[in-house]
Amino acid sequence: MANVPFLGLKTHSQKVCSLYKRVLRNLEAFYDRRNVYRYQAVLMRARFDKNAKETDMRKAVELLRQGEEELFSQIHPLPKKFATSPGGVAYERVVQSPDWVLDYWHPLEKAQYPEYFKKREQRKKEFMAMWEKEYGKPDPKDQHH
Amino acid sequence: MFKNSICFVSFFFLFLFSLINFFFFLFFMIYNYVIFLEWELISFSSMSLVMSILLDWMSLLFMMFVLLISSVVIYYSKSYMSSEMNLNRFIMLVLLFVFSMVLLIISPNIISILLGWDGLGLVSYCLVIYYQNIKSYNAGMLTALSNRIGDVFILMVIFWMMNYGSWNYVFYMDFMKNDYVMELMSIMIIIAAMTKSAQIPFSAWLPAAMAAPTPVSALVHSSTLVTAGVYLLIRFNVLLLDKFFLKILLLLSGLTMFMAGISANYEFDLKKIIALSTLSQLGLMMSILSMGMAELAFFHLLTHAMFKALLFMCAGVIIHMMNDIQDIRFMGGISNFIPYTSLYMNISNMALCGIPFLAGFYSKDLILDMVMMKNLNFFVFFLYFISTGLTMFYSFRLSMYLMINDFNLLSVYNLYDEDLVMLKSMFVLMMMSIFSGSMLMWFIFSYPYVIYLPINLKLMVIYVSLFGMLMGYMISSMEIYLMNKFSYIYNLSSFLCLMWFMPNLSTYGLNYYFLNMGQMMLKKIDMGWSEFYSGQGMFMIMKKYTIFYNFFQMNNNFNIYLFSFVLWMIIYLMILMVM
Amino acid sequence: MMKFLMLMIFTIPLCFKKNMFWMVQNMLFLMFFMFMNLMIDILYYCNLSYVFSCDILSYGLILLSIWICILMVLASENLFKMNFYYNFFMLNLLLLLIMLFMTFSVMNLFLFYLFFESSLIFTLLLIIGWGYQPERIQAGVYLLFYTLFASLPLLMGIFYVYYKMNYMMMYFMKFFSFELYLLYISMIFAFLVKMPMYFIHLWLPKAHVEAPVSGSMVLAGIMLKLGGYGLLRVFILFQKIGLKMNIIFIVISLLGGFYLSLKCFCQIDIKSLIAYSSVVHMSMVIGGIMTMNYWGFLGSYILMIGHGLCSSGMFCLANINYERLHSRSLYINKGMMMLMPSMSMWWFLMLSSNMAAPPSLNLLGEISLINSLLKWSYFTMIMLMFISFFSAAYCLYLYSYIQHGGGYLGIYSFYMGLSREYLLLLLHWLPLNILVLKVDYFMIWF
Repeated sequence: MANVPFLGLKTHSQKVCSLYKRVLRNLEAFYDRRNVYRYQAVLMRARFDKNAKETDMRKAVELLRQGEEELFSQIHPLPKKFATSPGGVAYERVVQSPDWVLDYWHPLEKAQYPEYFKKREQRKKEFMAMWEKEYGKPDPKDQHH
Repeated sequence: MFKNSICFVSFFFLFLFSLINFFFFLFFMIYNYVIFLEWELISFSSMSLVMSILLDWMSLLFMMFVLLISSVVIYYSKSYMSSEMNLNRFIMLVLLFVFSMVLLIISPNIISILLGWDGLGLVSYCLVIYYQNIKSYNAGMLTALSNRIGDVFILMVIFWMMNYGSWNYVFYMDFMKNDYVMELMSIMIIIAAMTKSAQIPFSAWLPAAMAAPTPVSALVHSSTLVTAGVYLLIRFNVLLLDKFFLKILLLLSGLTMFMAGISANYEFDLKKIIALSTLSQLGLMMSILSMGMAELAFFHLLTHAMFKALLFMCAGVIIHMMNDIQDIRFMGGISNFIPYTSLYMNISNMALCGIPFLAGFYSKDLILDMVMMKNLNFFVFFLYFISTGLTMFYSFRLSMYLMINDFNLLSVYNLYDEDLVMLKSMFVLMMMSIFSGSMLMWFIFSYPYVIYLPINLKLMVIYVSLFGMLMGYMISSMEIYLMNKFSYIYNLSSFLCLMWFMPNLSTYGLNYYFLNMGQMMLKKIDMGWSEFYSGQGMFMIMKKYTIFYNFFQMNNNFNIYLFSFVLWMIIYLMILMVM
Repeated sequence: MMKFLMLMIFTIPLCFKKNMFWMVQNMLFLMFFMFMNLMIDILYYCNLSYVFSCDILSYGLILLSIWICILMVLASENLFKMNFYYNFFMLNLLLLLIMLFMTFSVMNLFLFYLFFESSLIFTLLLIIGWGYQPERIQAGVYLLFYTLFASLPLLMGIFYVYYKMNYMMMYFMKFFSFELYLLYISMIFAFLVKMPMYFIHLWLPKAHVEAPVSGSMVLAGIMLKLGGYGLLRVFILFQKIGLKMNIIFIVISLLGGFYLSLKCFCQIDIKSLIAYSSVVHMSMVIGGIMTMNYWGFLGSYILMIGHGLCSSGMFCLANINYERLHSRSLYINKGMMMLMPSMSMWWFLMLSSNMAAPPSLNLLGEISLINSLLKWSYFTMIMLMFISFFSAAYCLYLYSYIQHGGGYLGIYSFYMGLSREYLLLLLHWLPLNILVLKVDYFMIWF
């Protein structure tokens, strides 16, 4: 990771935006009715907008810190998460097995899906042809490991 | 056509067995028959290891209910799990589960009950980790290990029972009741039952186990697995009268009931709400058991199994249609889209609350009346009635959130109520959760309980229910000031919301010590002192001396040779002189 | 008994023929079935010939060792396929089996000692010859010297016993009783190292990690049981002093069992974890033998049989993963349920038997050990509960760590379970769970 020197470093505005987003998510967790939530979100937006033009960085940082603290003290114990996003109930529920697993199926198993595997074999051949066209045929003497 | 036929075949046979069990139940009930089969595996030094099977009306009735619920649940999973690749694995696991439940129900021998008891723990573990995400991994581990505590206690009970010369506890339990060992044993049995039925120190696993697929929750975590503990205590009920620990059990189960009722009001996960309501009902069963009314507990167990399975199945339908979303904050107004499911849901909810003449009414009302007839202190009375009110409270809140409030889902959705497989399977349970209460009442209690109460006390249940309903309505429409209110009592709220911090305590609170201890032991003993005093230490010593002598021999050090030569010569001379 | 010995000896030339790999196994099967139909009396030594005989204790252990050797052949088919000195492997295996057979069947205490030690040589050859990493030399040295260190006192002890008794027949040992501390220690210490007891178990995980699958199978399956067998035999001599001194070993074993079960959570090598789990089981066996009551002896015997089948099966499973992924690390063996769902079932069955789920022999053994230990002292209940609980915990930990969730993304080559492997696992699992139905052969033995 040497070529990414500032990984994890965020500008102040990025931090504020992130805070804003988290605050809104938190509000969403509290106010589940949309009209109520909109009202609260607008109020929150106004609070953010009020200090948006702050040029003194010391004050801005202090405000950000206060905001983070307020969020921390009010965070919902059971946040509202979408089911398939990280933290949700159905996140990573079904594991997709890698594609190459199909190559190791038993012929009897493969015979259950004849059309799919016919097409798959054809695609493999095409891919190999394409690869060989691009990089040349592999040297048979070149032992792999 | 034959893709999901395993579901249908299993459904058919389970349903058939359920009917057979029902008729046998009637026969056994009427003639008061008991069949006791014993198969001796080995016998030595006056102990015999037997597999026993006890068929009486109780086990037959319970089996009938278990098989009925499992048959419809399997039929239901044909649709619910239709997109699942490993459906066969799932159905086989469920069947294994039913099998071990049946083994548990019919064995009155503490060793052969282990066959069902351990089987339940292991298979439910497999079912909880059926989905491949981290949540279910953790939940499964929590479930299995909480249940394992119960297994360990049962193993210990096996030893204590050896003192009586037989593991068929039904034979000597009543007349050895006042023995010291029997008291110890009863404590262990109670702890084992408490782990299975998720009473208070162990109740973290039940909501966590909701990571399982919904049919599993409907079968396992509402009507069978969790009632295994209650059933065990029902079988042991002779043992349990007038013991001090029963007072503690009464307290713990009452608190479980209360805690689950409170937490259900704070919870937003649809399945977890229902799981917490299951927990609350289990507390009710346990507490009435601890007062010695085993038949009432059994009665409530059966009716509860029916409507709770139905409730879970309805929740499953909703989750299925909501595209795996379980958070009730996303739901609302769904009665406009799926009227049948909403109908079933409401029926089961009302049966749960004890609305008159539905299934729950008969058992719950009877239990509460009996509680009022007992000489109990105010605290227990308080726990019971607050919890009854809370049942109404969270049920009504759930209904409000799901059905009455505004529609709140994502912009793309597909709600439909034409999944006949699910509807048909739920229909069976719907009928049962309407009729089973009265039916069982007439079957089991051949003579009515004598209940003699003032009118206000008799109507107390109605009062608290109405109050709970009001609260439920209010709480589901009081979001406007919610956040301020919430942060005002933030600590208390999160305490109540997170089940009195019990999940945290039973995972992070415990495992750290043991894992750390294991790590320390590994570092300090296996890789440290043991190694130092045997393998590596010996090697070091040998190496040191070898190098030392090597230094003498191999370094061509003439001085040392000369010195040692002179030394030995001097010694030789001295010896000569002495001699 | 000589006919079995002859059978094994004359099977040796088969090893040097080409492609006789399976033939040798068939001969072993033949021997297994012949041996199974041996007439056995519960009370006495029967089938005497020369110094060999068997009572029901050695009967079961000989059956177990023949069975494990058969399964070792089945498990190491790769040697045959890769032509990796499989002739010598079979020779080694047969010699090992001969030694084990003689160890379990001789009635003479000194000959028992002789074969007890000589079986070590072939295990050592197995580990050093067919192991995987260079560290196997160290592991071999550990194996050899831990056990040899303690076995020389045993030799002295045996000589002393001979000096006092003037004969060495094990059957007649019941007419003697010694009350000498040094003799007691020297006679049992070798077996305790072999079992192994806590504090002197270090050779076991090392040897297991470096051993090939067959080496692990025989180590876990039989070598540990040699110690138990020896203890069961010599304790007849030390009944009085045993009552005084055994408390030390029981306490060490039970505490050690608890600590070891905690240590299992810190292992990242599957084989090492299984090795630690077998030390936990063996510590319970030591406890059961040391209580010196009927339940304890029966339970230790049956747990030895059950654990021999079960842990050997788990080492097979570990090897099945190792052959596919070329690693035994828990970080790489992940999400196997996605790749090998049927093998996942076998993992679960084996692990559930290991955590003493019914109806395995392990459960029966554990119940009887709990009975004996608790009858010895009620305070052992705490440790037994911990051991029982954490055994389940590390088994589930191992299972879910390997099987559950998404896979390791670095693998690009794999193959599914072979029917040979399924057969191998079935042959481990079936006796483990079926024998409960006819358990009196393995439960009532003196």
